[in-house]
Amino acid sequence: MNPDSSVIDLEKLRVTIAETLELEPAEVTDDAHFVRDLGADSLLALEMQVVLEEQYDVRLTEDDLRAASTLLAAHALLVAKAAARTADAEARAGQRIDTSATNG
Amino acid sequence: MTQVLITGAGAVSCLGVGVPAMWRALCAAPDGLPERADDPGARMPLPLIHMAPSGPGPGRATRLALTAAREAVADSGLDPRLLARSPVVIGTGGGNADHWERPLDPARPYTPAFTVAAAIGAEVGSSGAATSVSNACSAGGFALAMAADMIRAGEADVVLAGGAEAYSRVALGCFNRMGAVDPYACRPFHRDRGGTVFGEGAAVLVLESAGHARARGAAHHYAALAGSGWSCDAHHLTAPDPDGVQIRRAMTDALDDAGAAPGSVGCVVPHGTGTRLNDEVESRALGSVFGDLADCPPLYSLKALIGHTAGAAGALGAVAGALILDHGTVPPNLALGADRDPGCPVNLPEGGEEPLDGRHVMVNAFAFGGNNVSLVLEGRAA
Amino acid sequence: MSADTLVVTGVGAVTPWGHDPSRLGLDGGPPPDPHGPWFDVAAELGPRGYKYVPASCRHLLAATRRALTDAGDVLGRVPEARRGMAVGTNNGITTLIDTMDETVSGPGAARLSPATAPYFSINTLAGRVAMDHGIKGWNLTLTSPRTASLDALGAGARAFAAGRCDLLLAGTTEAPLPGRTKGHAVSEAGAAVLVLEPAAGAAARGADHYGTCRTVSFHLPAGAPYDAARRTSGDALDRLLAPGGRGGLPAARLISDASPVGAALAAHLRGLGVRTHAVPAGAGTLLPFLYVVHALARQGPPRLVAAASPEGGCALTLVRPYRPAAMTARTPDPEKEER
Repeated sequence: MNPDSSVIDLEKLRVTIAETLELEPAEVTDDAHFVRDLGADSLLALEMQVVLEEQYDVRLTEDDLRAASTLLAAHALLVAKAAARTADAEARAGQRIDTSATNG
Repeated sequence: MTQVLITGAGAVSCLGVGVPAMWRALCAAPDGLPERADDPGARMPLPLIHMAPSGPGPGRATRLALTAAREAVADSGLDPRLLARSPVVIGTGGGNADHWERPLDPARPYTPAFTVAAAIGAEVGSSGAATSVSNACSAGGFALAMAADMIRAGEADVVLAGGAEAYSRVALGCFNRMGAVDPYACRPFHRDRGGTVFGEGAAVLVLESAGHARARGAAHHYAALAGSGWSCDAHHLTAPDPDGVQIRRAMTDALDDAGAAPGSVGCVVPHGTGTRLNDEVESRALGSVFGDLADCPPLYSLKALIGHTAGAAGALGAVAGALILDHGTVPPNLALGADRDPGCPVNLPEGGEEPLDGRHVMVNAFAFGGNNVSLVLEGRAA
Repeated sequence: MSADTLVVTGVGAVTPWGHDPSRLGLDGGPPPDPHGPWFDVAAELGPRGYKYVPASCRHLLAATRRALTDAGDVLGRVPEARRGMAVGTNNGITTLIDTMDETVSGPGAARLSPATAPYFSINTLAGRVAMDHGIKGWNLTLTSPRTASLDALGAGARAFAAGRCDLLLAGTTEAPLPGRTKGHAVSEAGAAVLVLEPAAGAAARGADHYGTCRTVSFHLPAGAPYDAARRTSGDALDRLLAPGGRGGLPAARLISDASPVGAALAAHLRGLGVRTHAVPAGAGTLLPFLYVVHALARQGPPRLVAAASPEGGCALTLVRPYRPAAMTARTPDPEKEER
């Protein structure tokens, strides 16, 4: 897992998506549409969801999947998800400190 | 051409054991919901299924099939000696999936999964070939069609044919993973349908040449299996070809094979699984075969009651079709009311039981791998 | 030979014994390791497009390509809706199912690979092949223990005779069993496919053919009286040999295990005067089909291939190579070597 997961490396993401879709990284251009241009069907789209969820430790919904239709869109989505998760984790960490303070 | 009669029938599903029980349930149209599989290994969001009475332990598909086969043979009134050379053709998607699934007993010898047909052959003591057909959710339909071809070709006078399917953790897990399970029920042609719900079941028919049935003085036949049409989408592993061309061809080939005009079809038991695209494509294909909605025969949406019985579905559909012809009645559909999907322009009557208007009933079974089969059943001459 | 007799115009195989159908050393002792590196997916199918395709499907795809290449321009002459395919397999997805079951019952179905998930259904192996070659007439997957591959020849021929296709592909594919299951030691791996078309069609396009093969399947129920079982076996033989009768009986390879059914079929075939050489079966249905493929590709005298399963399933395929005399002159007679 990425140690600083709010930073999503675009090139690493390109390689991951290329591997999932069985393409050369160069074919996954920034704006190529996964379904229309790169031939991904609904099962490959689901496959990509599973791979991205595991690799980036995020949860993706069907709507997320539809929105993330290109490399740049997927990258933006993952950055936003990772940021939200970081914020969430910080909030939870803060809560924990508060609790321990109370209990202590 | 040799006429192929259905002289015996056996069925088991969530509606219970036996053809009479099935017909009573079809007429009562109970609104039954699926249960959650009683399986701690079923780690999936929607472990939904309609279980059939089968008893505990491995070999569920075989036990379901044997139940149906025994009933069919008894129902036909055939002297068991006349079955001594009868082939057996059984469609099953997963066979005895429980022979393969965990936890495996390390002491048990290797057992193949697809032994359902062989078990029926052994039970009957027949020297005819026992063939296992695994065309997924169209397997039972293909098994019946192959059996009819055997009789027409003069290879056999009597064939036991049908389909059987039991709970499979892996199949249900994969359907969950593919987002193909409806969270609520099997709801064909419903606007909110979100996939299908599996059901266990088995159906076996005694198919017999008309000459053989006459010679032994068979008391009754439900209908004739008058024709079948086969096709393959060759389009996608799981999704139907949206153009519906091969589904349409299965239907028109079946009508041609039966020498039946579309106008003589009084009812269609559709594949209708509740999967979004499947129901849409089948609806459009039906329209292209039968014409305007006003000309379309009424559908009898069987899966709304018993779920998608996969390899048994075509065979249970054929039992329903044979009973519809035998009784001259189309049982009531579960009413969808305002929830009908306008994207599926089909004739789905909801006003209760209707008299059958037509000499023929069509049964559709489509599957993964794009495997499509349509059967045309013909009623007794008036 | 009548115009609508099915003749074999293409043969393809990928096996641990090698990929040349005429040089499969099937009688040369224990089979090569099915787990070994005998199959090169990139060389057979190309660098991409098969990441999510299970091994048995890759084997079937490769064998089909080889068979169609061997047959020459046949697809171009037969519309997609007139192409049929029948495939026999027992264990094409057994290991895949086991792996999936480990996932479903362990971390859960959410961790299954969606792109591989369709292959839980055994008919997708042939379904994938249909997609590659526009086989839209129909597609059957037969799974009867041990006999499924020979059943595929019989069911395919019946569908052809019923007018359901003008071109038939018949084949088989297997992949090794999971390591922890009984039967792993006799795992099979590989695939083979035959292209069959009516003699008139082959002649019209000037295609050579390998000969014919016909199959009769039957069942020997446990505890059947000896005479009844003998009669069943004899009837099957007569149906195959008609109209010529039993004169000049071809030698048989019988693929079976130590089950009573295998022993009974061997005894009956021998009792009927068929020189029968028993071959230990693998876990699936590959080996009987490979004997058929080999007999066609090597040419030589007519041969019988028999298969028997412990469950009672039996099948007999009669292979009649096209050029028995011409080829025998160049090929040593294996029957002589055995004696």
